[in-house]
This record gives sequence, C-alpha cells and structure tokens, in this order.
Amino acid sequence: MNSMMQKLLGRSIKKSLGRFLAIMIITMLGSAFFGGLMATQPAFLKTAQNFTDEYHLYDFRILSTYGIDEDDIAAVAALEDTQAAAGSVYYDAIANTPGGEMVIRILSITEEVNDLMLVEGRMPENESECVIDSNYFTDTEIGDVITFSDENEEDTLEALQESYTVVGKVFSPLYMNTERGTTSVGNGKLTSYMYVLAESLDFEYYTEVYISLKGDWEIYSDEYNDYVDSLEEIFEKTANVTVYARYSDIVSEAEEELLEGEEDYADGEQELIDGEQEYADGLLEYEDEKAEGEQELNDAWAEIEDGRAQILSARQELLDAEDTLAEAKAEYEEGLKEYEDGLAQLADGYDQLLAGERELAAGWEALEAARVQLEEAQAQLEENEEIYDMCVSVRAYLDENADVLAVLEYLDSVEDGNVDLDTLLDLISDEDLKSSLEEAFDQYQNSSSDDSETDGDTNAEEDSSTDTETGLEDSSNTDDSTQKVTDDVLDDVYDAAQEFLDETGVTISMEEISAWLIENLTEDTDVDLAELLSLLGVEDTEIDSILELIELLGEDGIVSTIDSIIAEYESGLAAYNEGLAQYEDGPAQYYSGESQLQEGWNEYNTGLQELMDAQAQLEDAAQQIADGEQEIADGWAELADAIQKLIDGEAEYEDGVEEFYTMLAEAEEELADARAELDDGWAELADARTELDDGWAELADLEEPEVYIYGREILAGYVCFEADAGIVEAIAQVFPVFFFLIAALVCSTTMTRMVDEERGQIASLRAMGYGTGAVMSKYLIYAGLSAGTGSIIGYFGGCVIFPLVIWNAYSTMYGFGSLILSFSARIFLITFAAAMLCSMGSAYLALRQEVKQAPAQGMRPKVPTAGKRIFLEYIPFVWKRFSFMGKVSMRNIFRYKKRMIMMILGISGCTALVVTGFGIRDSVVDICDYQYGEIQLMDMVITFRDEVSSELTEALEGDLSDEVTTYAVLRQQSVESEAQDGTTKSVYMIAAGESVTGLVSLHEDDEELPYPGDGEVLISDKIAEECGVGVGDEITFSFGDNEETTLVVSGVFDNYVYHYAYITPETYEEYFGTEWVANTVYLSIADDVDAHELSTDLSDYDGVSQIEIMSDTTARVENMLSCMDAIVLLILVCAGALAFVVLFNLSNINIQERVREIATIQVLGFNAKEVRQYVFRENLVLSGMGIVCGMPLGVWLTDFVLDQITIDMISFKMKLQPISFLYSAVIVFGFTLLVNRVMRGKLKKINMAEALKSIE
Amino acid sequence: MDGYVTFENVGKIYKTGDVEVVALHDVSFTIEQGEICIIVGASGAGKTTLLNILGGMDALTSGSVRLDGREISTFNDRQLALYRREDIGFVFQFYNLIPNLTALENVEIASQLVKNSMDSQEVLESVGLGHRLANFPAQLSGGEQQRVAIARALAKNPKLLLCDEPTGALDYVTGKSILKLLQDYSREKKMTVVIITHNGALAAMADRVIRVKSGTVSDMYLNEHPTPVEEIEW
Repeated sequence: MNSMMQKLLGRSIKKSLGRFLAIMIITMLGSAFFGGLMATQPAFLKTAQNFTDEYHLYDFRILSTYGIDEDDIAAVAALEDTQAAAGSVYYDAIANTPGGEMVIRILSITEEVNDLMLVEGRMPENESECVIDSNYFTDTEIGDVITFSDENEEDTLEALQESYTVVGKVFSPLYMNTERGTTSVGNGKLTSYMYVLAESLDFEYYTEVYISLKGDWEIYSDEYNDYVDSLEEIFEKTANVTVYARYSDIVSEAEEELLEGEEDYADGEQELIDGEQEYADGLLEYEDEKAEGEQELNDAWAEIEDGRAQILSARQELLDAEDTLAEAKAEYEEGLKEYEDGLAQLADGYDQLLAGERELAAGWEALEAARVQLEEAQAQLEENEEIYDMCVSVRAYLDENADVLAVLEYLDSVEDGNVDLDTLLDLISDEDLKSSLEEAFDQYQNSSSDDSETDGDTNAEEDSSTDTETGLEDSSNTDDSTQKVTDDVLDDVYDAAQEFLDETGVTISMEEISAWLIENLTEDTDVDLAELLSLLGVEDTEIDSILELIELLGEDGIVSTIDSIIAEYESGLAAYNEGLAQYEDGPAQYYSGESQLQEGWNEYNTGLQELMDAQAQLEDAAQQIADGEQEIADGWAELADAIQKLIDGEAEYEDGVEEFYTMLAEAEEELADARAELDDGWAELADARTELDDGWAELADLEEPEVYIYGREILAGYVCFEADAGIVEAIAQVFPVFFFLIAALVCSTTMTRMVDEERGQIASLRAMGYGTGAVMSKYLIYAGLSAGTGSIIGYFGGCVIFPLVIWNAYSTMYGFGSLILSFSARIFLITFAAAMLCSMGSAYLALRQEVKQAPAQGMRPKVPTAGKRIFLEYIPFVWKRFSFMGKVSMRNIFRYKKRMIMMILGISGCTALVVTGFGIRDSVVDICDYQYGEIQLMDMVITFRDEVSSELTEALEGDLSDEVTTYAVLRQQSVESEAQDGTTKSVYMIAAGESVTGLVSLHEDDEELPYPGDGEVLISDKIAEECGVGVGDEITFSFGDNEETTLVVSGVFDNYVYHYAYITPETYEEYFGTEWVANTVYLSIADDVDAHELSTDLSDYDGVSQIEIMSDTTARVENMLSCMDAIVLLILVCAGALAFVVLFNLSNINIQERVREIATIQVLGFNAKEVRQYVFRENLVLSGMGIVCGMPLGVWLTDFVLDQITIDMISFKMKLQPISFLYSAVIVFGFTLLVNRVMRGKLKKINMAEALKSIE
Repeated sequence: MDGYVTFENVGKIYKTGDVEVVALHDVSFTIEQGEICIIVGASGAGKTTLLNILGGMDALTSGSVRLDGREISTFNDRQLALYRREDIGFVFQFYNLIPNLTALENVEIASQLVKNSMDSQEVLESVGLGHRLANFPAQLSGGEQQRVAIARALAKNPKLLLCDEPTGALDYVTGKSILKLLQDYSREKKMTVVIITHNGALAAMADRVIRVKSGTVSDMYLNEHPTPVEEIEW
C-alpha cells in the first residue's frame, strides 16, 4: 500500500467516522462480552486460588472420635506430601457480643494452615484477645469485649476465658461466604466466628488437624481433585494408626488404672473393716465407763439427798421448837399480861374498896341528914295542915257551886279592878242572884273611896299569915328577920326536897307555887271578895273560910291558889312519905354495904396472894423460854453448818457430774467422729465401686476410634464459590457467539455500503492501474483497523468490567480480597480473530463482487435495485388492506432483502438475549420456591447416625405432636448411577412408605405420580435425563462396595435440586438385600413453631447426626442465586447496546442509500413528519418482525443456557414468565424508537438540492 | 415589474467553511403566467441554483422571490414543503423516479399529496404512457421515465412546472419529444413552465428567454413568435 492509498484510507475513515466507529463498537461489544464472560470464571478462580494459596487453605481435615493429639499431627506432618499440618480446636458457645447475643464458634488460630486475613486491627497477642469475623461484625469496634452466657455448657465455659477483647477483624478461609454452618448449641445455627490463641483455650485434645499439601494444583480442577483423592487413603490410614495406637494406650492405661483402683478399693475396704472393729471396742469401753461413772454419781447423789433430808428434818425440828417456844412465849406473855391485869384489877379493887368505905361513910351521913329533913318536913306539914283543910273545903264548895267558881275565876282573870260587871253577871245563871249582884255592884262603885282602909287591914292580916305559912310569901311589911328565917328554911327544905326528889324522881313545882303566892299576895285587890261572895249567895261559913283563905293567900287567883295549895300539900305529903319510906330503908342498905365491903377486902387479899404466886410462875417460865431460845439458836447454827456442807457437797457433785458428762460427750463425739469417718469411708468405698464399675463398663463399651478425613468439599463457601463462578461460565459459552454473529452482520452491511459508496473510486483506481490487492487492502485494512481496535478495547474492557461487576454482585457473599483480573492470550486471540474474521471477511465479500467487474462497469452508477412486486401483492386480500404509503413501505422493506434480513436477525438476536436474560432470572430465582415450596414440603430433615431414635418417634406421636404437624420416618441412602456421558451421579435413594408423599410432592407437570410398587422406582427428572431413561426403562444403582441393583422406572418427577429416587421399604429389602432401617425423619412443623428452637430440642435425641432446616437451605440457595440478577442486568445492558448499534447502523445505511429517494419525496412536498414516517415505518416494522422472531429464539437460548449451567445437582428448568416477553419486547422496541429519534436529525440534514444534483 | 413570477435582486452565497462562493447576485426578472420560460446559461452559471430557489428547495441569501403574489423567500421549511407540494412540479434531468414504485405509483405518490390532483392514469395516458402503467422505472426507457416524471409533476396540477435539463440524459429525438410534450402542455393548459438548459438552441421555443452568466442575468427577452419544437434543430 502506497502513501496515496494510505491517504485515501485515512480520508475514508475521517469521512465516514460513524461507520468506522460502528464497526469498532460492535466488535468491541462482542469482544467485551466474550472476553469478559470468558475471563470472569478464571478471574474468580484465580482470586480464590490466590486467596487459598496465600492463606493456606487446608487440603485435608482429619477428625477422630478420640480427638487429635500431637502424635497424630506429627504422623500426618511426616508424610511426604504434607506441606504443613496444624491441630485446631473449636468451641461453640452462646456469646454476648457487641452485636448482640449469638451462637459463635471460637476457633484456635492455626499456624501455616488456614491463615487468617487481617482486615482491621491486629492479631491476638495474649490469651485475653481475639479477632472476629469481619464479614459479620461490621459495626463492632476494636476494643469491644466478648463474654459468654451462663447458659453454655460447663465444659465449654471452662475451656474458654471469661472474656476476650477484640483486637482485630479477620476473614477466615474456612468461611469464604456468609454461610456459618450449624451447631448443637443454642438455636442450632452459627451466627459468626472468632479466633483466639490456642493457649487461651483449655483443652486436652485438638478437635481436628488441618493439613495443607505440597501439590500445587488449580483449585476445583480435576487434577486437584485427583491429587487429593489419591492421597486421601494414606492420610486417613496414617491418622488411623496413631489414633488407634492412642486408643490402645488408652484402653490398656485404663485397664491398669482400673486394676490399681480395684486394689486400692480392697485396701480401703480392709481398712474400713479394721476401723469398724476399733469403733466397736471403743463403743464398749465407753458404755462401761459411762455405767461406772453414772453409779458413782448416783451414790453421791443419794448421799446428798440424805444430807438434805437430815437437814430438812433438823430444820423442821428447829422450826417446831421455835413454834413451841413461841407458844410458850405467847403463853408467858399472856400470863404476864394476865398477871399485870390482875395487878391492876387488884389495885382498882383496892381503890374501890377504899371508895366503898368512903361511900358508906357518906351514906351514913346522908341518912342522918335525911332524917333531920324528914323531921323538918313533918313539922311543916303539920303546920300547913289547917290551911290545907280549909282549901279542901273551899274547893269542895266551889265544885258544888259552879257560879261562884266561874265568878271567882273571872275575877282572877281581871286585872286591876277593871271588872266588867255585865260579863260577870252573864256568868251567873241564877236571875235573882244576878239582879242582886247588880245592885251590889252599883253600891260597890259608890263606895270605892273606902278601899284603902280595908286594904290596910288585909295587909296586916296577911303579914301574920305569911309567917305562919311555910315562909313562902313575900310581903313588903314583913319583918326582915322573919322573912330571913323563913327563906333559910325554905331553902333548906327546898334543897333537901330537891335532892330527894332528884333522887326519887318526884317533882313538885314549888317554885311556881311560891311565885304565884308572892305575886298574888303583894298585889292590891280592889274587890271586896267577902261581899262579893256573900252577894253570890255564899253561905257565910263558906265566905268566911274563903275570906280567910284569901286573906291568907291573897286575893288574886284565889281558885288556882287554892288548887295549888292543895296540890302542894298533897305532893309534899307524898314526898315526905316517900322520903320517910326511903329513910327507913337506908340503914339496912348501909349495913349491907358494910358487909359487902368486908367481903371485898377479903376478896382483895385472896387476889393479892394469887398474884404473888403467878409472879413466881412467870419468872420460871421466862427462864425456861430463855433456855429454849438459846437451844434453838444453837440448833440453827448447827443447821447452817450442815447446809453449808450440803451445798459444798452438791457443788462437788455438780462438778463431778459436769466432769463426767463432759468426758462422756467427748467420748461420744470421738465415737461419732469415728462413725462418720467410717460411714464416709463406706460411702467413698461405694462411690469407688461405682466408679470402678463405670470404668469397667466404659472400658467395655469403649468404641474403637473412627477417623474422618475431609477435603475442602465440606466448606460451604469453597463449594458454593465454584458453583457461582460456574454460572458465569455457562453464559460465557453461549452469548458471545451471538454477539459475534451480529457483529459480523453489522460489519457486512457496513462494508457493503462502503464499497457501494466508493465503487466509483474503486473503479477509478483500478482503471488507473492499481492492482486488485492494493484496492482491496484499503478496505480490508479499514475494516481490520476498526474491528481490531474495537476488539482490543472490548477484550480488555470486558475482562475488567465484567468480572468486576459480577464480583461486586458476589462480594456480599464472598468477602475475600479484591478481584484478581485474569487475561488469557488464548481468549484474546480468539476474540481478535473472530473480530477480524467478521470485519475483514465481510469486507472481502463486499469487495469481491466489485473487483471482479470491469472498471468501466464500476464507474457507472450502480443500477438501483429494481422495483419489484412483492409476494404480498399477489394476496390482494392482504395487500388491499394497506394504505398507499403502507404499500410503499412494505415494498421498500422487501426491496432491500439483505438489509431486512440483517435487521431482523440483529433485532431478533437482541430480543433473544433480552428474553434469555429474563428467562434465566425467572427460571433461577424461583428455583427455591419450586423445590422447597412445591416439591419438598417438609420443614426439617433429621438425619441419624445409625437409626432413628425410638424415643423421637414416640415423642412425635406424643409430646411433639403439637409442634410437628406431619412426619415421615424413612431411610435415606446415597447411591450412584451412571450417566450417559460416563460420569457417575450421586442420587439420594429414599426408601419410605407412601406416607412420605405427604411431605414430598412427586409430580410431573401438575399431575401427581402414583407411588412406586414392588421393584419400581420413581426418579427425578434430571437423573432420568442424565441417564437417558424414561418410564418403563430399567435403571441401575450402585451402592456400598460395588454392589448393584436394577429397578424399573415407574415415573419421572419434577425436581430442581439434587437427584432423588423413591422406592418402598419392601423394594429396598428385596433389591438392596439388607434390612430396612430408618435413619431419617422428615417433618412439617406448625406455623407458630420456631424451627431453630425445635431443632435444638431435637438434637438432644440419641444418635442425631444432622438437622437440616429447609428454610435455611432455601435462604442459602436463594442467596447464591441472587447473584444471577447482576449477570442478568449485565446481559440486558449488553443486549440493549447491541440492539442500539445494530439499529443505528442499519438505519444509517438505509438513509444513506436512499438519500435521493428521500430528497425526491421531499421535493414532491412531503413534510418532515411524512418523510420520517416514510423512512422509519420500515424500521418499526422490521423491529417488530425481529422481536417476533427473537422470542422463540430467546426461549430456545434460555433453554440452552440453562442446560449449560452445570451447577452440580441443580436442575434449571425454563420457567419464562409471560411478563418477561412483554418486558423484552418493550425494551427492544424502546431502542428502535430511540434510534429513530436519533436518526431524525440525520434526515433533517439531507440537502435536497445536493442529493438530487446529479449522479457522480 | 410584478409578474407571475418575480425575482428581485436575488443573491445566493454558499458558505463552505471560510470559503464563500457567490452563486447568484442581483438576479431580477419576471415571468408571466402561461409562459414557457427558458433559462439558458453555461454549466456553473447558477441556473440550477436559481431554479432550486424558485422551487423552494433552496433558500436565498438576499432579495426576494414571489410567485403569484406570494413572498416565497420568507417561507420557513414547513411553508416551503407546503409550497412545493401545492404549487410546484419538478422534472429532473435524471428523472428521480422512485425505483420501487410502478409508473402509475410514481405518479400517485405525488397526486395523493394534493386535493385537486389529476387522475394519475389519465395524466400518464396524456403523456403517452397508458400502456406502461404497471411498469417499474427500471423497465422503462429514459424517455418513458422522463414522461413518468413529467406526469408525476403535472399530476399535482402545479402553478409552476420547473424542469432542470429535462433532456440532458436523453437522446435527441426523445429529448425533442419531451420538449414537445412540455410545450404542448403549456399551450393547452396555460401552464407556466420554466426550463433550464445549457442548449441555447432551445431558446427558440420559449416565450421568454433569460440568459444567465456568472450568477446573474445577462440578458432577458421575450420571443414574440416561439418556434414549435419540431422545427428546432440542434
């Protein structure tokens, strides 16, 4: 190629940059898609490889039922292929972490194997530090502390430190994804992990040993698997040898120990028997001593009791004596008192006697005085006897003459002469008298002047009479000496009488009499009583006596005076008589008194004598009493001594008792101690016996050790990673082909167009003599340059972007490091070659025709494709339906057949890709729903090591029947079946009764399959497909040690995850030749039961090996499949880009090719809209056709891709949702509209004048 | 000086980057209704530009253009499209038929654009192609194709028929027959026809001749007695 050609090439590129870019972009897309997808899995694997290499992920993990010790580790470490071997121990515990309470696995940090990737902080340096799961603990800070719940088992807590301080966050190669596994602790689900130094865990044996091998093979590769498989046996055997040796050691050691124990036991027993003898002796001694001591004490006590009794009696005696003495004293006192009383009485008597003598003498004198008095009274009476007689006669008269009496009385009552005559007269009943009286009165009043003479007379008379009388009268003209005498006498009489009367009780109002007498005698009386009386008819004698009397007595109160004189006299007489009588008794009395007195003296003397005697007696008694008291005092003193002695004795006794009992108690205690010791000894001996028996039993039961060896296949993260990386690979194998196919189409049309455009130039060059090769090279280089650039950019871009995007989607699951990109020269060359082939190939094809013809031919304008009737026009029925413009469009569409095919192919390809993207998503996303929602309906699968615990089956019928709704007991066994491609497939053989269909829905499409009969088997669809068998065919399963059995397929059921085969227990026994023993339980639980909690309970049953909770499985699978979304999105974006490029390119070419035609219709007057419709209607129709064609293609592609996705044991079945078709159509159509929109500008730019000018 | 068609000081400058090319300057002329006007000039004289401006396919830089009293030079794209649609019929040197359409369809695609269009078949018959209705352009000779093109232009019943070198790609005889067709049609229908040609001989058949030279009108004259086409030799 010369410089001119280079210039031409450069100008071509410049002029048609869009075309150049179109080829570049389409090849870039194809290359990116192919290269990127092809690089994804290698990049992933490389990253994983790098990670596992760097952090020395183990190749073998060996466990034994006897743990692992240093010998085991040393043994496997010594093997030729071992790179490193490290023992590891772990505990599962409920921990209180800053992230809440959770079940966490605490692992020991291992050296050289399973190194930890430090994400943050540092590694632990001492026993109290730890590093934690960086994936889970995103919020936890370094420095936080993790502690453990008390709920943990004691062994676990003992093995762990109390707390660990977080010093860093790590990523463990054992946990490459978010799956943390299960445990028998807590709810059965591990939440996270943490690592600590092995020193901070207290353990005897390692749990396991991790071994890394020297062989350096690509991970997941067959070579690696073969390598590992080839070494597995030797490692297992090596471990087995050491473990078995340890087992033997343990057994013999145990035996030895047990025998020693037996000996010790026998010794112990003998010792105890001796001890018992000693104890018995001791007991006897004790009893003797006790009896003796008690006797002594009793004797002492008796003595004390005696002493006490004696003291008591002595005391009683003393008390009695005291009483007696007291009595005697009392008696003495009494006697003394009596004596004193007697003395006093005697003295009184003496005094009385003296008084009596004096009285007697006085009596005598009184008697003499009375005699004198009486004599005086007698004289007086005799003196007064005459007056008395007169008064008596007056009185008698007055009593006979009432009138006189009345008048007298009246007169007596009137004072000082104021006598009312009338009143006086009224008193006189006798009329005659009355009148006479009146006369008298009158007379009287006339002569009143004479009265004083009369009075004088009277007074004289009275004086004389007064002397004669008892001296009771007082008178002014009485002689004083006479009067005096009279008064003295009267006084004497009166006194005597008074005395006498006092003595005798007689009372006479002498005083009154005398008073009256004195009064009346001293008053002047104006009445001439004698006259009066005479007037009154009183006989003269009478009047005389009366007058006499009055004279004697006075005038006033004569009557009463008379009466009183009478009474006085009479009483005086009586008193005299009485006094006389009394006096006459007096001497007798006196003499009797004298004799009495004499008697008294006699008595007195007698009493005196008696008293003298009593006094002597008393003195004796006093002496006696004094003696007694002395005696008693002595007795008391003696008693006090005795009591003191008794007290001393008692104290001594008490001391003795105390001493004795203390001694006894000590002895008893000693004995009890001895007894207790002996009992303890016996108990210990019994324990020792039990222990020994247990030991023997244990030894007898001691199972032979089992060694388990695992590769990496038990690491969920490791295994899932391969599967996840594999998904991408499957897509990588299909999609890029599509892209290149479409890229080739685009290149072809583009180059054809270019050649068409430049045919004049080509012809000119050729005409000028340029060789065919030179001319062609320009176009080939053009195409190659464009596609090559695109391919290089695309490959490297794809290799970076695709893995990164997908890695990013996975990064939530796999947290190890950043992606290591993988570039493969082989893939690059393939990509480049494909790009070159597409571009240059199509260029060549476009040119070949052109360079064949003569240059002259080429210089003429290319005859436009001739108009032609299309087949539709022969179907008038259809053709007539089109509008004129519709017809035009239809004819245009079919006119450019190549373009039409390109368009339809491109669009349908894109549509197919979009549909596939959706299809994969639809099919994969719901796989869990199908498998665990429609087929495997159980909530939990419990696997037992050997046999289903009968306790569990009982509990399922009983206690658990509330929580568990349905269950099935069955035998699940792994068998193998040979696929058509020669590989063996692992199949779960379920030998169960028909009841299992309650927990597993065995259906094909929507039809339930009948449960297999004898010798029949129901198999899952994927295995049927793999083995190429159908209903009625025979299928062979191998099991155990190369044993085989052949069954007839009775049905093929839908299944997505793993391979399953169902048979009846009878078939199992018959065809497998062994007894059917259930080892698995499927359960459905009630809605309100927490599966994890239940699983923890269930794990306590004997022999439970694993409990799979289906919801966890679902979550895990869903999580894995969710990464598909990222891939699907990637596919959609790429498909969209592809659609855009294809549409844009073809539309562009279309417009370029038909620019004259378009200009023509514009000139004809089509407006912009009409022009657009004229051009783009074709695009829309072609897009529609492409979409319609793309749909079935997409379905097929989906099916193909799903078929290619070889995730082990998962059967992807196409489940395209109708809505996905709609989405696909809308997306592709959307791109068409977008392209049309972009092309609008292009149309606008067409210059009619220019376009129509002329053909160059 | 207001005729049916009026050009008044029309100037047109093409700008390509910094280069300015003056295609027309100070072009003024008028054409009366029903006239056959021949614009004659050498290649590159600006006659096609002139026609394009008149036909609403190109915009002028200065001056004004009027047709039947309407100012075309101020029309926007939309109005221009309508103007072309309603008022103008174009005939090109290379026919510019749509190859995918039959003769009849090529006429129909134009006639269906306007209301008072002529019957497509009749028009074709009138241009002597009644027997070639269903033929695609590729199946027609050059003259026949040009007749179809003329028929397409006429079918719209335009006010102005613009022909750009209608005989340029045709042989003498055919060219003559085409010109005759145009002349006859103009006379019969009183159609205003503008023909561009580099052939000065043709000026004889025109009512009005405008000579264009170096982008401007060098001469314009009315032909009192146009010569029938048959009599013109070149």
